[in-house]
Amino acid sequence: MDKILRIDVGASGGPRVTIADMGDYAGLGGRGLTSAIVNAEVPADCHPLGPENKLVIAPGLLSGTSAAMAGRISVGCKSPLTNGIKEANSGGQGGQVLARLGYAAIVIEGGRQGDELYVLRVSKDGATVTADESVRMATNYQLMEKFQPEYGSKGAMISIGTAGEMRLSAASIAVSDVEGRPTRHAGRGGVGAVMGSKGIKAIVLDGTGAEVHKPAHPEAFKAARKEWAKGLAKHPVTGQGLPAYGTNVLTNVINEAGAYPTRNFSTGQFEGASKISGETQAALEVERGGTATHGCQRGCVIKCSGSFNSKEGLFVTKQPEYETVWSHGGNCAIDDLDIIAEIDRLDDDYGLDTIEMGATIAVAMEAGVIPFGDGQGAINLMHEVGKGTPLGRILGSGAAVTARAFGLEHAPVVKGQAMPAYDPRAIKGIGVTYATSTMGADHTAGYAVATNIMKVGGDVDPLAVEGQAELSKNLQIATAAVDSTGMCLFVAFAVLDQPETFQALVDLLNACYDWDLDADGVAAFGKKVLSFERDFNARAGFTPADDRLPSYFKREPLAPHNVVFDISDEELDTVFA
Amino acid sequence: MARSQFFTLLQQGVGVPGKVGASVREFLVQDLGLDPGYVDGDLQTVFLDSQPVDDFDSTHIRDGCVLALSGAMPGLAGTTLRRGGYYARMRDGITHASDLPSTPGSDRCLVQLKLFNKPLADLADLLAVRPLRIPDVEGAIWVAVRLNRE
Repeated sequence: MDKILRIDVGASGGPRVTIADMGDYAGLGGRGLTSAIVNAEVPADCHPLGPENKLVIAPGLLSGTSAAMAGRISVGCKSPLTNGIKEANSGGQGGQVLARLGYAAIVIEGGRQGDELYVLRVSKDGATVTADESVRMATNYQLMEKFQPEYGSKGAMISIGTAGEMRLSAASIAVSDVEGRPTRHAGRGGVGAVMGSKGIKAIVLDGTGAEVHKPAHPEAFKAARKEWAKGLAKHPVTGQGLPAYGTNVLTNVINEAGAYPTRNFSTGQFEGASKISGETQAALEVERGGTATHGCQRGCVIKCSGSFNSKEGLFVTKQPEYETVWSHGGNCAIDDLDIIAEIDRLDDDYGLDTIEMGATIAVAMEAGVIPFGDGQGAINLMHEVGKGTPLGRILGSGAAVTARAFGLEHAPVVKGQAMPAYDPRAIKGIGVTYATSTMGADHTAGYAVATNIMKVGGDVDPLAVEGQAELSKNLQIATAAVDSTGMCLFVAFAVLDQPETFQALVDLLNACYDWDLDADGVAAFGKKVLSFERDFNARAGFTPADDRLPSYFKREPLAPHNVVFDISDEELDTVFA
Repeated sequence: MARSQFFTLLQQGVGVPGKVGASVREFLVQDLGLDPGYVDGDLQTVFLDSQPVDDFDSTHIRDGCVLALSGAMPGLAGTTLRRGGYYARMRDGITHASDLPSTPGSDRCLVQLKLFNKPLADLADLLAVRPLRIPDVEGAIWVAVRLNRE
């Protein structure tokens, strides 16, 4: 995994392929690599859909190895949704296959010539780009039908649906899963629109002859890998909770906490939560012949996914995740799992971010386009987006644009990106991360990764008054480091609670790359990644005034606790002071 | 009653008698009959009237209160809500503060008990053999649930 594949879509005579070594980017992977390239090579003031922007697709540092949970893939660019730097990452098979083909990154750059659409094919023998008119306005599942015979069970596909092709700001990039389905997405920030702007519709990865990434120290790596898998298996979250119910296990708990954004963030509890909870969903999946425990990539030992079948027992979609069930469920006052599953399928098929689309439809509901709770109406709106009707193009541009179009203040966004499934008035620490993340409102930007073990930025007393800002900063640093490894963020719980599991992760990196990292080194790495991103955003024109929640979160109390977001601007500004 | 139906009911909450003035720990161990090791080890996320509970001993039940039991949860929010967790500070605006036992008006009170995820799977059978007060068209009724074989 020591090469960078560059596709210049603006080259005369058609897209040009070059393969180069890592150069100055050696030692980087995943988010670290995407953010380094975007920061160094993309003019921060460029238009996100213009020729100066670049789309960088990079497996993590440990992707392609035999370590469990290491196959995530990062996608970076300047975001058309936030106008800042973006890294969105995805599960599925793409990260493992690309890494095993020897590539640390694919960089798609230049200005598209004409209106042609292209398919990029990558194999152990190199890469080719071919114009293909047959893929125009194809959905992701249609692309699967067309290309699965090529990528088969050993390869993978990275693609955009109709939303990306139309360059809508809520467009995602799909990555095929173990079954070859386009169910995993680099969802956030409109990365699919940037891929669409380059005219690349699909990347077909031929895994034939791809080899497992060999570590520098095989025996040490094997020992660390064993300890790593053992740590994940014994933890109550990674070993029990997630496998049994998936991420949707959170619905009941967040709802009970009064932090479950309902009806476009107007209240913190949804009366229909038990009908769409992870517990109910898992039972329904099993009853209909689906599965409630399944991995999205080979090498996954947590298996937080599953498959959702129709009443007739036919596959509809992968197990909808918590964020999806919330955004299209409680946030829209929809309590029907069949409706939510159908919308999840449409998100995957048209290539749309489920969080952004659920938040957007809820805004449209508040605007009176359709009533809250109207499941069929929500499905119809999804089709409007996927087909590109005038209304659909507004909705596909995200919650902020939709609120503006309908004259509403209530756009639950930061830096133009919709908030995920935790109301920041109830859990204020998450609000600090929503506000100050380089990515816009993002629940994964400051994950609960072992900051207490890593002691990022020194020991912090979480009960101290100033704890919120310091905690958020440390979480963001630690998350940036983990996002660079290719590890699924769900490893965080085992790493958080079990020092020996955190050490196993560090040992995996050291054995793989002949490094001598310690906890401080991991923290320094995370800080470096964040510095790339903050530097880019500053040059793109972001100021502390952008590190804020919408003012109505400070003014309008959230039931049942009747709390507002009362972290001061001054404290928010200390996060990265 | 079908098991799936009972599971839905337990997520929504059932009425369970408790002793007035009992701490949450006393209710869980003495009234529900849970193993103290299970209470401390497995009930990682607990809410009293929608407020996260950190200390079982300094928090008390009262008539009509809602007690929800859950295992350890994923995500930053899940970790934040965990009992006594490192990140508890991040939700201090909604945390259940220590309180005093309520003054007994009678010996017994009714606790609305909700079970989620691991406790739901672990404790459903225990609850199925005791009198429960469940919602009914006429308000609420006491029942002894008999689960069907599935």
